[in-house]
Amino acid sequence: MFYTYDILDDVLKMTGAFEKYFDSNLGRNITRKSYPYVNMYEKDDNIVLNCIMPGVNVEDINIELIDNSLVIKGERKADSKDNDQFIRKERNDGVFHKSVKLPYDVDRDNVNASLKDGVLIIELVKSEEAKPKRIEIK
Amino acid sequence: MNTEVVKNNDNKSYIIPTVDISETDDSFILKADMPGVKKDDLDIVIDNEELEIKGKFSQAYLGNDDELIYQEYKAYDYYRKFNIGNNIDNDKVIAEINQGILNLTLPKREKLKPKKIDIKSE
Repeated sequence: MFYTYDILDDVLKMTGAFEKYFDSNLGRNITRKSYPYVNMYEKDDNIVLNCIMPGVNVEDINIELIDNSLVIKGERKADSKDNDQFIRKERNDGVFHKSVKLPYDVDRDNVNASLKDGVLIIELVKSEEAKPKRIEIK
Repeated sequence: MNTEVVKNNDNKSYIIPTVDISETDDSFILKADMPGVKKDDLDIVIDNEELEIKGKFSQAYLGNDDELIYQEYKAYDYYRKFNIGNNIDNDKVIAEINQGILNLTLPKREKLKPKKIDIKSE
């Protein structure tokens, strides 16, 4: 049998591949999440969002706080040239637009955002009204 | 970015990073999306005609599980393996990671580079 090894071959563990196939195809995935994917954390009086966006430059990201929603817009530009010869192309580029509703009112003047290793971290602080108020019992 | 997840023999879940592979006369260029991976947490191994790419999702970009109130992605570590045969000059491989993207330059062995054959005329 003639078998050619080349960089096109992908050695995926077969057990994982089957599992993944059945998991993703049985039952429709109703929740259509939009890009970029976001995880939100609540740490005492702070809210932190981690957004996955590899290959996006700082100048191509626009973050706005509208009422109680964070709107993240931007563009991932392709990092290839027109005459690149591709053997395999899986990565996407293009524009994105996402709105995330925050669970609390936030202090609009106290927002920090940083971008590192393809992760956008947005830190917000709950507004005074949103912070828990201890009720005294007489 | 597609998040394909695979369970390996160690029963751990991993994210399979998406890649672009392009080719020039001198080398193959592999670019993989591995957001959340710092330079020190990246592991590239070439062994026995296989190229293994491993990256740890840095704790710096993860909060505590009990503080998580909304989740769209699972921050597993990254893993992907390629069969590269005997085509690459292993000693000259260059790896860099920037903005969560791995840039891997895999120089071809001399025999794979196009060699122009001269035609003698009478």
